[in-house]
Amino acid sequence: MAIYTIKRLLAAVPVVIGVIAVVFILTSIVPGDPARLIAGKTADPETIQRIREELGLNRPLWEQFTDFFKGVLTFDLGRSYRNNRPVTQVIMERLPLTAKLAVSSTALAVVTGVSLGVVSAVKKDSMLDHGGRVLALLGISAPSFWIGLMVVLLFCVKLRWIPGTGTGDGGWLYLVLPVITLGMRPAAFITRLTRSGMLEVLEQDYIQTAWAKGLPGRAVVLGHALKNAMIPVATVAGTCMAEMMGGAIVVEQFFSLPGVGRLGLEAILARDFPVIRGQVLLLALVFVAVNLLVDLTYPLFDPRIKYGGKRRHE
Amino acid sequence: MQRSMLEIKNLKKYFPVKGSGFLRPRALVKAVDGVSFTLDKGETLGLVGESGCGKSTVGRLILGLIRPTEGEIYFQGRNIPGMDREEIRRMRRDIQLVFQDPYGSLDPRMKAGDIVGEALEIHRIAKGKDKEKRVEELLELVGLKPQYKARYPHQLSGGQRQRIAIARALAVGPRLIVCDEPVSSLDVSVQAQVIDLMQELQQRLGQAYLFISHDLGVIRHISDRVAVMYLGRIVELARRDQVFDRPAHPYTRAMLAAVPVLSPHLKKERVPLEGEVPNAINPPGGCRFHTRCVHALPVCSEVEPALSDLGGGHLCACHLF
Repeated sequence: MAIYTIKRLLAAVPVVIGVIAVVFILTSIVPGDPARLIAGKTADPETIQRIREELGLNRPLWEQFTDFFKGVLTFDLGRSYRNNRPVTQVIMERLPLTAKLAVSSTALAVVTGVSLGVVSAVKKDSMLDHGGRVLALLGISAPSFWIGLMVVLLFCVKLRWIPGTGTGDGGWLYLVLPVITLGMRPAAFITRLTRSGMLEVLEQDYIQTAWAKGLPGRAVVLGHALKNAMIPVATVAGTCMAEMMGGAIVVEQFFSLPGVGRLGLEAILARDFPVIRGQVLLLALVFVAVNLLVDLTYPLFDPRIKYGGKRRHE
Repeated sequence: MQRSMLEIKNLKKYFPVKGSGFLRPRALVKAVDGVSFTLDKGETLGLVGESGCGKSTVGRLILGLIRPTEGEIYFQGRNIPGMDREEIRRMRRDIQLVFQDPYGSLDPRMKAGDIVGEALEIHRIAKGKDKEKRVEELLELVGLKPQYKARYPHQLSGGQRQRIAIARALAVGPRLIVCDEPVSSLDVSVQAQVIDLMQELQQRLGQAYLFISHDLGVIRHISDRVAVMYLGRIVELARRDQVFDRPAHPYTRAMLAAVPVLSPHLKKERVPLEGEVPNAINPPGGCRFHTRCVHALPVCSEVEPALSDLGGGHLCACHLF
């Protein structure tokens, strides 16, 4: 297990290097001259040239890249073009909010998705199952801005339970709607995944055996069936969380939450390359890390997956 | 009159065909269609037939895993279909099962010891240290070392897995074990070991077996009595020697004739068996076997023959007798 973990960590190194390179190249070839944007429309060519030199944009691309690369290794991602603050600092300011969003949305998605999926599978072809499937389909199909609109309409405008947008005094109440909006799609996805996984597992002989042993229904469904259906759910939950850690651009924008996603959007509009790079890099690193973590948790769900050890038979 | 431990009367199970019933006429698969037999304490009844004849469905009905469409299953005088869920759950101390595929019938996430021990705790037979001890005894009983309790199913061979499945079934001290093709997925040499083990355990512990199989050799080896099923009905039911030495029903004879013999000098009666098993959704009228029977009479397609005694308890459902 330890050896496997080390192997996986080493294997992640080229991935990360590749990511750094791709991020740099992509941000360098996008159209738009940051110097011109910073200087403003009325600036004369000398000013623009001066800004270009200040930012090091006049140097050869590969030199800029090695600088960038060295910077990444020392957690120095440069300074924002807009306000000259260190990029790491700017991102770290925004990260807690996004992390809160991502973790709670994933938790919500897993809890509702798994329970709905289990109920759907156990009560297959009942009204409950049909209703659950329609809801799941809706959740997957509906775009998040629409879901956002609907939950705001319901909870803020009609019911007046929750204040609308922003973080207000920073209380948790302001997170409720964004979390619901953000969690809807993964919840729907996990519902479907759990349902189909459970249906497959419930057909297995060892579930029949579990019934025949005289186990109570709960023990059969949760103890034997669910645990065997959880692997794909773990994978999807991990990926969803990683995606959201990089910032939920639409939802953060919609609810005016100053998270990483919104930071990225602002940076893109302002051609603030260091911040864009920082944000994309964060997303990629979180992805690599979460995927690794998910892989390492597989043996907890399925003892047949055992890393590094010797295998008897088969 | 002394009642048998297990008494099955006119058992029927129809399954709706998928996709029927909505806009289309409702079609039913008559998996089990009027099956009756008895099973005594410590006895082994072999239930044999082609795949799809409903023999596994009979097993699942007895275990209460599915409810019959019609008919009664009396186990120790109590009708299983009439029980509520809790009663069925408690009854499962007395009836256990062993499945065909030991790869599929053991939860891959559980260690062998937990698989064997789980039911002990559920039925409040033993827990903690006692449970561990009992699990080790059970493993020993089926010829496995106590160390195997820490293994996962994927770390065991097919024969070892089936031994675990048997130990698991024996854990709660059942009176009856329904064995659904318990050796079909094993190598022949391992089959013999497992069957010998099952017979030995029966002599020591006295449980009855309902042994479901399509393998006539295995059935002949282990059964006291044999029931031959064809398309949801029992066509012949008799002591093992009666069925194998003096088979009556043309279907039984055809089946036995199809078993290859080891010596080329032994000439066997050839009974051709042509065609496919008819569809269980629309079984042929009259005797279900008449479409493939070489001896078919006009009456066979009209009247369904009942099981009648040919003498000495040899039951056969055929108009020829």
